[in-house]
Formats: sequence, structure tokens, C-alpha cells
Amino acid sequence: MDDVALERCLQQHGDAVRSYLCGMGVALDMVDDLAQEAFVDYYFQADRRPEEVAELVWIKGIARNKARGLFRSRGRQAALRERFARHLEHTACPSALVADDSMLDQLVRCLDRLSSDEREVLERYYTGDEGAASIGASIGRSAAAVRMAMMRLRDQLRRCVTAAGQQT
Amino acid sequence: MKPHVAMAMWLDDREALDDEAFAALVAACENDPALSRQLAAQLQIDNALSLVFDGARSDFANRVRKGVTLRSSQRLFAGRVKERVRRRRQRSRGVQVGVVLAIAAMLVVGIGLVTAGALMSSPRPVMQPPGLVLASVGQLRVQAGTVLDAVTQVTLSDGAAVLEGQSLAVSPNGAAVLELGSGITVALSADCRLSVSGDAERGWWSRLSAGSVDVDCQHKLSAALHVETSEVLVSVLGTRFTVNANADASTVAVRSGKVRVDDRRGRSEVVPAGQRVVFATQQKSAVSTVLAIGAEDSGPWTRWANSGDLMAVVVDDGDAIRVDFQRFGSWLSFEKRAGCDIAQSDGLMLEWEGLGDGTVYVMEICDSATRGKGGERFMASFVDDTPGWRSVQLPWSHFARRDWQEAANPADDGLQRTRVTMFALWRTSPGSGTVRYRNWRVYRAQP
Repeated sequence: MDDVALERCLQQHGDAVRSYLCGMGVALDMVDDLAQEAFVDYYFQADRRPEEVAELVWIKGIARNKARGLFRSRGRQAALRERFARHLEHTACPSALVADDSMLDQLVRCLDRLSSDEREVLERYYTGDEGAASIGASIGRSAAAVRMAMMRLRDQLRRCVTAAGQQT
Repeated sequence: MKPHVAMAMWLDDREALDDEAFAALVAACENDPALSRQLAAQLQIDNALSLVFDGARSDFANRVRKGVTLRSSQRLFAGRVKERVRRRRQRSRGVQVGVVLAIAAMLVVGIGLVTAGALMSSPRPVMQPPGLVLASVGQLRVQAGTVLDAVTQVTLSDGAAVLEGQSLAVSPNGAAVLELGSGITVALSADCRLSVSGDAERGWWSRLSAGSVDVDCQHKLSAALHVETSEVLVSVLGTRFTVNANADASTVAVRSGKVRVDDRRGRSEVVPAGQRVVFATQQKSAVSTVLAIGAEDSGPWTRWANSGDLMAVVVDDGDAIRVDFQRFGSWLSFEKRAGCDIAQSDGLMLEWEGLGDGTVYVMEICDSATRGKGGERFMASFVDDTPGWRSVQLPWSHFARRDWQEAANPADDGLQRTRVTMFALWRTSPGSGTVRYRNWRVYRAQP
């Protein structure tokens, strides 16, 4: 595989592989590390892919093995995590969303419809190293309340993005 | 615990649930497809929100490219290690064969000893730094102890050819003589570290970084011979003298003829036979080090070098780093993904041993203070207009934003020194050149 092929491969499959790993339950701070390893492995071993297997399927397979390796290395709950990952992998979502550029653009538009307080909570949660407990403490709510609010906001945003996708 | 509460906790932190609670969540999802779908949907939007807000993730393609480069570099390195192991084994076999031959020769005819001895003392191959074509400057005579190539740590045998720029390190109980040709000999004392460049036409330029050398060139030379320490440059056209370098001072003792000594303050002095002059180490400039770039004691760094067409070839050379900039744009860099806070600093500086060929070099840094916008790059240049060691100091006021930026549309908000992730050094002039540097650091001027 040459560098031109790598660029094309990243462009075509980068978002899908990262979404796939996240869908397996891999923690966000590990998703890019595993995806990077998967692409680098593929770069050096692309000739091992049988012609009949699609490139994305093959890279996902590498990424899956990386994720399993990660689960096993954590020791605690390793078997259960692997089982859960397999289950989530085969769970059909109401509508499959790949976090590509158009989806992210739509998500930004949906974020604009939230209140400033809601946006601030999301931004603090995803931008910095603050967890639900820290954010809750600063706004006078419990960590559990912040976690449930996050789930509600994610649901809301997902509905918004999905609806926009169906309209277009 | 209700499944939704457990799900919310798990989404927030994959380690939050104890074994029992996590098992209950897994079982609940396996038994309730609706719950599973909700979790899968949460994970999808979780990833998307992270991509929107966390700017570090926007650099993914670049991370993969660097990962490919790094692994190529690791493979190259592994290949070199294998090659070195193979050579050592060959040498070892050669020695074993020599021993067998010697024994056989002793048993059969006494003359066999000569053959075996010659085999045992044959010069060992010396690893050459990649990318450098080095000529031999002389021959080494090991008189006691051992002499190592300071970079590769390969032991040099008696009679080995010494390559241009090769750094020799004599063991604490060792002694050796370097025969440069034209009747010049340089005696190396114990713990001495010396490198020599040049030839009889261009003259010789040797650098003594530790220990003592005794130079004998009593007949007239066609070209100059220089011995440089951190403090002085000794130039000679036919004499016998000793130079010693240590942390406190450099000492020059002349036994016959005379030498000219130039020190770092620009003073020049002729030292006649029978005199001994001590040059004390200069008082260091009034700056303190905020961050030693690439140094082990300032935490883990990722060094980008030694791979690909554009990366410089970098070799540790005693207390300095030797860099072979092979072409226009050759670069090396040190990265810290977590970033460094160098807000309390005044600029970058290093000690630089250049060629004085007018090449323009650049120091570059990248900040990543504003998440969501990628890093912003700044650079400042300096001209290599002086041969030998000198200090290069670039205050932050000299740094300007680069026209080219690696990240797509990074924030144009000035140099944010609270989170700097990369320091780079590169060549902006055509051609190639090998230089050395040491003590590359972020400094703060003392009041």
C-alpha cells in the first residue's frame, strides 16, 4: 500500500472505523488510538486482504481485534466487556449514523437549537476533563442528575440529526 | 440499580460499575432489544459530540500518517539492530575460528600462530551513521584498556581505521594513539573523548570534549591542525603540546614550538614552548532552563527523525546531538501530546555547532491551546554564519505565525504558550549539512 492509497483509505473509512469502535463500547479516549493502530496495521499488511473481502470490512476486523485486545488487557470484567462488545456490535440501531462531515455539520446545527445552559454542559463534558460529578457540583446538581441530563440531550440531538437526514 | 441509571454511569465512565452492576447491565441489554438499541444510539451520538467538541480528534488522519512513519522508523531501527547482531555474531565466529586455527597451528607448526594472530587483530567493522559517507582520518593504536566508538558503543580494535567525525571514547584505564598521517600523532589519555575531521590538505579539526590529548607534529605541516575544547581553539603548524579539557577549565601545555590559542571571549594568545596556560570556563549566561527539549528528565517525548526523505538523520554524539540535514526542508521534531506549559519563559535557545555556510535554520513550535481548532505553528530563523560552537537564542518576540499550517484552519489567536505540543528544527536552504547541537531548551532570562 502506498501513501496515496492510505489517504484514500482514511478518507473513505476513517469515520466509519471510529464510529464502529465507539459502537462496540470502547471508551472515547481510546477510540482514536485503536483506530490509528488498525489503519497502520492495514497499511503494512494490506496485501493480506483477500480480494473478495471489502476493505472496510477488513479494517473493521483489525479494529475489532484491537478492541478485544484492549478489553483483555484491562483484566477486570474482561470477559464480560468482550461479551458486551459482541452484543453491541450486533445491535441494530434505529438508524445507523456514521460521524462523517455532513453528520457533524448537522449536529452542530442541532446544538444551536439547545439552550445556552445545555450547550455549556455538553461543551464542558466533551471539551475538558470534567466528569459528571464535577459539572454537577458547579451547577448545584448531583452527578446522577447530570448523567441523566446527558442521556436526554444525546437522545434529543440524535432525533434532530436523524430527522434532518430524513428530510434531505 | 435501574438499567437506565447503570447505562448512564457506564456511558460516563467505563470503569464506574462494579462487577455485579456491570453484569446486570449486560444481561438487561441482552434481554431487552429496546434497551440495547437505546445504548447503541447513545454511543453513536456520544462519538459524534466528542468529535465536534474535542479538537484533538480532528487530527486523526495526521496521527495515522505519523503512526505509519513511526512504525517504518521502528522497522528500520529493528533492521539495523538485527544487522548489528548479525555482524557481532560473524565477528564472534571469526574469533572462534581464529582460536581454533591458532590451536591447530600451535599443534602443527609454530608459524600457524602468525596466521591466527593476524585473524584475531583484523580491524572490526565500524557502524557508520546512516546517510553519512565518512572518510578515514587515521589509524588507531590501542595501548591499554579499550577504545569505543562513542555513538555505536562498538569496541575499536588496535589498527582500526578512524573515520571522519567518529567520536572516540577511551576507557578509564585506557590509552591510545591516533596516527593522523604526515607524522602527526595524537596520544589519547584515559577517559578521553575526541573526534577528528579533515585531512592533510584541508587540515585537521579535532574536538576534545573530555580528558587529555598529547599532540606531536614537530615537523612542518602543509595545513593547520586544530584542537578545540569547550573553551579554546588551539591552532598549530609544527609543535608538541598537550590539551586537557574538563568542566572547570581547558589547559594547554606546550613542550616545543609554539601554538596560538583563541578562547570563546575572542581573545588570542601565543603560547611558547615550556609554558602552560589555563583557560577557566566562561560564566554561563544569566538564563534558567524552563524545559529541556527532548531530554529524558523532562518526561516522555516522541522524536521524529531518521525516517523518510525529509526527516533529518539524528545520532547521539556524546553530550551533543549530531544532525544530518540532507536536503532543503529536512527536519526533526519533538512532541508531547499532553502539551507543555511554558507560559513563564522568554524563548528558545541552544548551543549550535554549525558549518558557517550561511544556511538558514528554523526553530518552530506548535501550540494546541484552543481545542477544536487544532494547533497553530510559529517559527523563527537563524543563520549558520559561524563555524564551531556558539549559542543561539531566539526570544518569543522573534517568532511569527507560519504561512503554512498543518491543521485545517487553526485558530489565529497568537502563540498560546500554556499548551505547546511540538518543537521542531529544520533547514530552509538548499543543499545538505551536518551540524551538532546540545542543550536545546526553553529558557527564562534571570532578572
